[in-house]
Amino acid sequence: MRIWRKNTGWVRPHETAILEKLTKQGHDWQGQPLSTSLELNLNVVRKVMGNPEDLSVREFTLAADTEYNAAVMMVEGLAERELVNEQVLKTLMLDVKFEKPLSHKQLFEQIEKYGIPNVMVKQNQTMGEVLNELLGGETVFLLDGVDRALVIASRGWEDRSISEPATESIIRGPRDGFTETLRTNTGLIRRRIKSPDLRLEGCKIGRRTRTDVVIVYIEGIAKAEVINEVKKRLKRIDIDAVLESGYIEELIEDSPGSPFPQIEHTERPDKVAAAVLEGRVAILVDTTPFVLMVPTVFWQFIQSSEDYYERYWVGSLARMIRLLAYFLSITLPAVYIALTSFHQEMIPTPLALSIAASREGVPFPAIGEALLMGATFEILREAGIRLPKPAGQAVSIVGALVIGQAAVEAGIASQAMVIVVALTGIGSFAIPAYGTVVAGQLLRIILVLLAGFLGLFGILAGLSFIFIHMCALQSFGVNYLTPVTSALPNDYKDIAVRTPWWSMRRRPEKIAGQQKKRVAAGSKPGPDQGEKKQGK
Amino acid sequence: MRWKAVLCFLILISLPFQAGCWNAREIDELAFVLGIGLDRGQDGGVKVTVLIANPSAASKSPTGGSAQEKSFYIATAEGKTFFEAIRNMATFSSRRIFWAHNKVIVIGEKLARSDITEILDFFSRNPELRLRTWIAVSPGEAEKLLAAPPEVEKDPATSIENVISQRVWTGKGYGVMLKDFLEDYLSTATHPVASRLSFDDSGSLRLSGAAVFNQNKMAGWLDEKETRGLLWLKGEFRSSIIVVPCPLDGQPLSVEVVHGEVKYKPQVRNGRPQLTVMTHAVGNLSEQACKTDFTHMDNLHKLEMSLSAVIKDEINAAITAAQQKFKLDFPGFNRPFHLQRDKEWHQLVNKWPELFKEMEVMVEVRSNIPREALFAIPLKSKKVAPGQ
Repeated sequence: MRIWRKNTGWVRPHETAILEKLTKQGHDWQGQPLSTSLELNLNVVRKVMGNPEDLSVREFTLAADTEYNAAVMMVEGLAERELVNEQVLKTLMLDVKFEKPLSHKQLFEQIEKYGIPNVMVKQNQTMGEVLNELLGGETVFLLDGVDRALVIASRGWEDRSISEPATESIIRGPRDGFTETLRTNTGLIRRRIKSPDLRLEGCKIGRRTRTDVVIVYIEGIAKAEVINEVKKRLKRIDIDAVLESGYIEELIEDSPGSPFPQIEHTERPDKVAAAVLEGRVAILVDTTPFVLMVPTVFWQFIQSSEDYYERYWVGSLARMIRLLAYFLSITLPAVYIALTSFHQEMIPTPLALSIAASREGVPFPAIGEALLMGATFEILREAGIRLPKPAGQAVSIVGALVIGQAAVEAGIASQAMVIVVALTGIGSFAIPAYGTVVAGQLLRIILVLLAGFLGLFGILAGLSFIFIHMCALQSFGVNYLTPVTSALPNDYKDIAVRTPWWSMRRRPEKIAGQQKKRVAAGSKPGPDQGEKKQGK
Repeated sequence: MRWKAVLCFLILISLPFQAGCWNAREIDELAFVLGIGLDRGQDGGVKVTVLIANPSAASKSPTGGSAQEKSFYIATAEGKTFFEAIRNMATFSSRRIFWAHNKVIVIGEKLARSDITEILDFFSRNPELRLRTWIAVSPGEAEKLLAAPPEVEKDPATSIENVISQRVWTGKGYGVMLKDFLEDYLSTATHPVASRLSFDDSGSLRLSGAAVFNQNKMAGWLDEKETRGLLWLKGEFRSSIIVVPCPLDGQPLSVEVVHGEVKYKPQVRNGRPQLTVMTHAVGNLSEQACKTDFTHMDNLHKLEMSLSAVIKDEINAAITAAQQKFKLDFPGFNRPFHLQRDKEWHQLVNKWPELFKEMEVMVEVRSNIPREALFAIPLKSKKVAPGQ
């Protein structure tokens, strides 16, 4: 048994050669096995990482009959320092006493067995694994003379606490939202679905970011084809960085050229739980609160999780209003232009006269006016989002005055157009999904141009084209307009209206796999609930 | 492959620019015609009067501003033909004249009595003009009717339109849209009828009676009683009031007709047409000056009988006017033959003008006043009359 001098800092000549070889540019250190030399291992880590200032390496000697050199490594900011002090250093340096003379290997195994009071301790053998764990926030324990490392779970970085989702506010329903930490997020889903069939499968995507991505589904409800398709598409991704789930979304969607989003995303754990229970597959990405859900159909974008919590009348009415708002926000300016510059005979006389009166003195044609006012609205909206909150308030007030009053008084825009633009802008925000809203803006501009050139004919041509395009879209093997295009009468219960829970007895036909039954027959409540059963 | 796609895209993008906003016209560059008046011109041509809305004044709320800007203006043009007269209008109108919002066409009696073929042709040919326009004849000049300052409404065309659409309350005037007028005009045997619009003694607008046309010329007027009969025959009598003498003491009573319906039973005997007109009227007693207690069924039956008699009288007046005064089938008695006696009709159609004059028309009227319980004994003062 060799005894190394403690913490000398120098490296023997043959080790220098190894070190140089290992850290040479382009050398694959991932699969490199650990050395038995503590010094060498530490130096490799230091060298590969460029000896960063947030890397903490604590070398110490274990108190036993012989002196065993050991070291603990962690990255400051990712690993919890308290935990390392308490569970690793304190126990190993003060509490645990090793009586018998032990070989290095025996000592290492004893430490693994009862030396570190932490729920997750595992052995690692390669330099790559050690570095990955280290950079993932874990603590690495190395013992001289052993070519293994112990990884101790110590992830604990500063984290935003669970708060109400900023993008999807609702009135009735849970208020918790996802955070930027993957583990918190999976916990939020687990808390809602306590079934052992809930499956979480992880992988790492991003050559440099090595972002954790987890797919969540329920075994038996989700379709096997969809699960395999998701895994296949995730595996195909070869990108250096994944900073947000939007990266994944763009790399796995079906029709990247379409303005319609084909993958829904949400900040709400209840929405993800509902999606998973319908048979969808959720994709969680670390460092972002936005979770993807596939397959997605168009109707999901006009649905809010609140529709299911409020009584079904409320939900149904809200959905129809959203559908109307979406349709209006896409077509209203175009229809206004077509009517006022081509088909004046279609406007009722008093309305035609008041539009004519309000347009008197406006220097632009209706289409120019629409584009101008639309652009103004979009600029204000965008500015309102980007500006710091206190300033945003001021901007929106000034903007409202600019659009609403000053433009009309200056004769740049007509009052009727202000109403149209305002209704369009407000209407587009009645849709819970922001991505759809933005797609709607694109379609709106196209329709406005078509209406300006070709009138109602142009609008109808444009709408037909959009509709044909939507019919052709797919998301992970499911038609975008399912169930409308697939004629599934049972699924109509959850599209533009939301029928009561006791009537939605089956899961969506095209999305769920084998277990389609959701609610038991005869669940419709009434005054004699349960009495009939007891009587007979 | 890629450049082909780019080329296709560029061609597609440039397509709308090729179309170049054809036929686009901004709404504020239009002169909205609300009413058209047609008269005989001085040199035998046509004089067209157009009522054009002034949008900025027409859409202003009544409380806004004291400036009394007129909400309409009148333009007149003459020409040898109707179309020339209309085109002549462009010589002084700064805006493009837009016909699609026209509500009413008023034809002066003089012009109506000479020839309206050209006018009907223009109105049915021009795609900008609606067929849902009221058509009326004025005993005087149409121009004056359109130019008269409106009383409540903002422009005369709207008041004319409202007067016509409220004709059901009185049942004394006839209202017809261009589409129905044209249908009769083009039919094999029916002669068209138009409204009669005039000023009454106090100078306000009045819809009463109707104008009967013989093909393209006006043949004459129908008075109010004949018009009522015509409304019964056309099945358009509803909501109007019928004043019925009380069957017991002769005092007037008002019955509001809530349901009127007519059925025809055509028969052909020895090649001669015979028509039974079956009318059913349902009314409410809305006012009574006589002291009869109509909660008694006998009295009520008597009232129903006299109601039937009044209606029958009105219908007979219209039939007499059609068969003897004008000798024109303007009530459309040919239609039941056409619809129900199709085979015989083909033999009748050529001789219809003669056959119609001598056709036997039987009128059956059935009246009901069903809501007995709603009227109790009439109001009666219990004061002792002086001198008793």
